[in-house]
Amino acid sequence: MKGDRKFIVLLILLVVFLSLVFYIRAEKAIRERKIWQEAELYLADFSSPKGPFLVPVKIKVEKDNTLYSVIELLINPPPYLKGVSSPLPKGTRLLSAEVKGDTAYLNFSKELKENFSGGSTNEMLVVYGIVNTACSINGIKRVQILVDGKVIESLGGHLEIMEPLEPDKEIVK
Amino acid sequence: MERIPEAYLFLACLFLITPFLYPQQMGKCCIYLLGEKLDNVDYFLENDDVYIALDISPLSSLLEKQQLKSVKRGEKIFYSLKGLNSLKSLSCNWDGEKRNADIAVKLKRENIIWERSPSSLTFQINLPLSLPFETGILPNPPRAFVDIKGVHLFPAKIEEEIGDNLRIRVAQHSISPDIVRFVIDLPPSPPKVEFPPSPSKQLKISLPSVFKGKGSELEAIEVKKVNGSVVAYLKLTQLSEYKTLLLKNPPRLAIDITPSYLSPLLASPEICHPISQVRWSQFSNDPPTVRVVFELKEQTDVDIRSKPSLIEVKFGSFFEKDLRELKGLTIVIDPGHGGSDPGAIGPSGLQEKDINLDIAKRIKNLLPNAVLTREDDVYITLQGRVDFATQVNADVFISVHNNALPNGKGTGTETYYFREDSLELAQYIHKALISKLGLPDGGVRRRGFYVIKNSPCPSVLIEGAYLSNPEEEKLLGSEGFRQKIAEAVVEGLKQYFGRGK
Repeated sequence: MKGDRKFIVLLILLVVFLSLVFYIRAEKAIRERKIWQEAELYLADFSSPKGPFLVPVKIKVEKDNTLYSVIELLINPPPYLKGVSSPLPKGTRLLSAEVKGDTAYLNFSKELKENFSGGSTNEMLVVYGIVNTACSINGIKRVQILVDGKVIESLGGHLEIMEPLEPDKEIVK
Repeated sequence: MERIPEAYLFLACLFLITPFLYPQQMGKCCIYLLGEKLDNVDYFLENDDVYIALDISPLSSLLEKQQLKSVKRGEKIFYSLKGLNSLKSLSCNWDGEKRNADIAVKLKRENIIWERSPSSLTFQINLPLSLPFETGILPNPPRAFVDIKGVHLFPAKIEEEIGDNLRIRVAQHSISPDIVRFVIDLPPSPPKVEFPPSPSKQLKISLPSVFKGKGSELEAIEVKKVNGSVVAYLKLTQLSEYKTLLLKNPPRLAIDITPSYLSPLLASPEICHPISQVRWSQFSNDPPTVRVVFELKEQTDVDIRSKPSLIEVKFGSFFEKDLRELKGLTIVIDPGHGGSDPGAIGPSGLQEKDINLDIAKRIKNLLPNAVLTREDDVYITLQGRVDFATQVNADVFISVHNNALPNGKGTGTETYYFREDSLELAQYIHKALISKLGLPDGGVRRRGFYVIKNSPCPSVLIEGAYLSNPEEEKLLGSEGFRQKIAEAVVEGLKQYFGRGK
């Protein structure tokens, strides 16, 4: 009889333990759904002989300040991503990011224009790397690029960026 | 009486030692000096050499300050035959049995020059000094001959084809007297042969009108700049057939004209880019062919046309006629970037804005009805460029650019369009660019660049080559390559507007 009681106690303990595990996992999932959001980084892939493309890479970021975090990741992509790199010119910093309605206003440091090395394809990579990435976030449909707080005509003389731009998938692989 | 044998003995001894006292065998010989026979000439032999008492004044012009080996005996001066033989232009023989000496002039192949012109044939035999000769015409088969005296031929026989079944033969006709016979085969109805007077140093034999109407003569080569392209004119007395060969490594254009001869008046033309040198030669004599070679600084297309007695070679291959399709159209050429916007900058510092402007100006040179959005190094906004096309009521809009990628990457030629109405234009221009430039084909791509998205007419943006790529930067730095881009754009436009016709 003594053995039977011991077995029941163990069974109860096991049930309690399992319920606890399931509860914690469920709670974590609920919490994640609240604070994480999926987005896509459009990174440059120079390896193709047909010329460079933008490659979308799925990421998860915290819900607070999503736009800022995503563009920061576009400037400094996670090191585990091999074969792709940031399309933005070296030294570029994000000064501010805000969303008004469905338009994102991204204010970059002057290096975005000053360090741009020229070329139409390159300009596509920079501009649509920014626009496509920002527009992968729920609720953002257009992007206005600013340099040092100002609207400029163009980064490299091929694409006009005076108005908010919608995403363009022509350069995406 | 008893002394007499002693005297005989003494005489016998004297006789025996004479050769040792006087080693030279004095004697008389016969000499052929430059074809003239001289009898009873004193000579002696010494150390394997023959010394001859000779009046060398006929040879004085050959001595060239050289001191001839000679020995004075009594009144006479004896000259060494070996010494004479060592003179560059003399050839001497000694026949010990007959006691004959030949002193003759050397005649070599290079002393015989012959020239063909369309109608005449001229021979010239250059001799070191004036020599007597005989001439004549022999029948069956008809041939002209010249016998030159006092000459040794080296090699002993020369035979050469001069085309049209004519040959020359030169051979040693006889030794002692030394005669070289020069024979020219003549056509069946022998033409007049003009011989020079004898004796002579330069024998000029001419056969005027030996060839009637057999080919043209290349009289002049001229190189001119016409409407921005370089044209070479080959002027002929009459039109002959020609073949052309465009060769690489090094780039050059060879034109073979047949039947044809070189005029003695032909002079070097003044040359300009892309021609680096012009050479010509009588490439072959059977059939008579003149080859003219234009050495080129770089690969270039050529267009060759012939008019009566003129071959016209256009480097860059554009003729007014072909551009008729484009007359009356407004073609806007938009040199990308400018002013404060340099565009891409190559590793050695070449700026895209300057390259684009130069190419645009070259297009305008080829296409007088092209209008440029900028003619100077100024910045024009993207909207400003589109507005310009609207103002001039453009039929097509072509934005000229060159590409770049970070870190020296990128190669090839790309053509961009955006709207469907521009696809065909992009395809024609891209095809011409690829075939003219020979760089990797980056394809026709749809991209929303501002000027091609917003221009009021079919519009394309070309990216000729990558300035960020050091090799392609070097190409873009060369005038010839930029000219090729310009030509390709015009070629593409020509085909675009001529399509379906």
